[in-house]
Amino acid sequence: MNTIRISLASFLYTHKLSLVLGFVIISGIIAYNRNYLSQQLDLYALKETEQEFGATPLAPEQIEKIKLIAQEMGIIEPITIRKMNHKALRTFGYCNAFAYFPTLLTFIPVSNTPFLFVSEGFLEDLSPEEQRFIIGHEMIHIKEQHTRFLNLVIYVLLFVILMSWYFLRNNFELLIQYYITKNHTLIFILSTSLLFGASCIPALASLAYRRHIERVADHNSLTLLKSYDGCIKLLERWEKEFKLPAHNSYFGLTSDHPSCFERKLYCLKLQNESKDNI
Amino acid sequence: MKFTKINIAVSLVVCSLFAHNTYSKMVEFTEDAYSMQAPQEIVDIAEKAAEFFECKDAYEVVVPKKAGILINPWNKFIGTGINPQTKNHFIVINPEWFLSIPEKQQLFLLGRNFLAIKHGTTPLSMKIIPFLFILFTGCFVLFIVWILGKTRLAEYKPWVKGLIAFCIMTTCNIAFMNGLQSKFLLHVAKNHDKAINEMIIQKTGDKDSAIKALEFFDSSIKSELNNGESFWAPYAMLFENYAHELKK
Repeated sequence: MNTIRISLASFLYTHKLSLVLGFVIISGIIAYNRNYLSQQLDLYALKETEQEFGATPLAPEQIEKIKLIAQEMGIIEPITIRKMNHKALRTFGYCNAFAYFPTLLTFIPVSNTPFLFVSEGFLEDLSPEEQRFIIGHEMIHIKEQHTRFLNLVIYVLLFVILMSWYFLRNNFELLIQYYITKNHTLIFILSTSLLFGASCIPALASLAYRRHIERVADHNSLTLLKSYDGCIKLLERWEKEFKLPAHNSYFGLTSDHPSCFERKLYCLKLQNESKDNI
Repeated sequence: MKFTKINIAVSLVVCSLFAHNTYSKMVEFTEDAYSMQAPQEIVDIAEKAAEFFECKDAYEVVVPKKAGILINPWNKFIGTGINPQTKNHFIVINPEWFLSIPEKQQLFLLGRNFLAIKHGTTPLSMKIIPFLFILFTGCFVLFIVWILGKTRLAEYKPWVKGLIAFCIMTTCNIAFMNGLQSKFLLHVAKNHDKAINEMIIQKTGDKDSAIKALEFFDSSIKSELNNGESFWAPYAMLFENYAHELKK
């Protein structure tokens, strides 16, 4: 079979003018229609997110209450506030709230308007102190855009790891051959294990980052709103009513939140420090 | 000789006692934010049904709280699950709804849950399907790489061909494979449900009560839908179809 023998580099070289022209034309179209495209992306984000986590808006007085806390923290950006649906409730629990940045295909950030979802239990069962703490915590996530680019970074990291393994696998195999074994089956097993091990790095790094942002959100929310009592009450409620463990398993490495015990301890420490300052 | 006969008889009695003990065992449920231990009236009904359907696993009978119904709308009627704390199966029964139907229909609905516990809430074929799709994805990627080798891209480096094949497969998955997988899973789940319905009718010999129970379940779901509960939309025709097929 006759094939045209070309490489990617030669293709790019011979077609560079058409590629540049194509890029300029597409950029021009995007720039000309940017408002329309931005509106469409916002609409897409709203529709998809509402379908995923809930579409029921809150009562005006409840929205007002949340916005007052946001203003107190110096957050004036528009936020879409909705009630959690069954699916979100199953994931996040009955007395909870969470911030969400809409994404396309789960990793490309779209729309500049973040979402805040609150549960039925948050509105009905939590005391104003607990509500204040949890809203403050989520507002910090929104303000600092903690998770907006997280999935994108994870995917890029995973891609880089896979590509590095592909290009460096011969070197790894040589190293294994030199230092460990000359058995081909063992070399293959070790090389593949290395790939799987390396592929776990983005997931573990993401969990570590998530734990870090939770600590940051707790710290900022507590220092800005002084909602120490709310924090302690809420964590104790989660432990008692929802049987949340006080300590995370596997030294917390596989958890996306710090343990209740650690969070309570940190809250008490901040409370004591604030009392000392007074 | 006599002693041996007595010995055998005693052994048989003891064995039967053990056999009886290995039958279903109701375990007390520790109250949480979502549900609490069911009242004795419901526990008695459930125990009778468990014995009738020869359910040998330990189970808990619970009544949902408001949070429990919100988190899983099936709890508004009757449902089953696994307690993450004790790892026991549990049956959630909403007393208001459940006690409003005749005893024979109650037995049928409980039978659906006890047989689901006995034979597994998800059949083996349902567990295999996702793996089959992963295997199919892998094979399809290799097939695309092979096809690319027959085109003008043959001289490209393998990783470029692999990347192109991966992108094509990812697009295919997002576009229609995920939908196809869900349809397969739904089909298998329906067949599993139908098989359970048939098994209950075989055991009870009461087809009419089964049909009535399914129709009652269907009417309850439809009234929820009319109240604007969109959760029930995918199940709008489910029980009506089951009842219709049993009528045949």
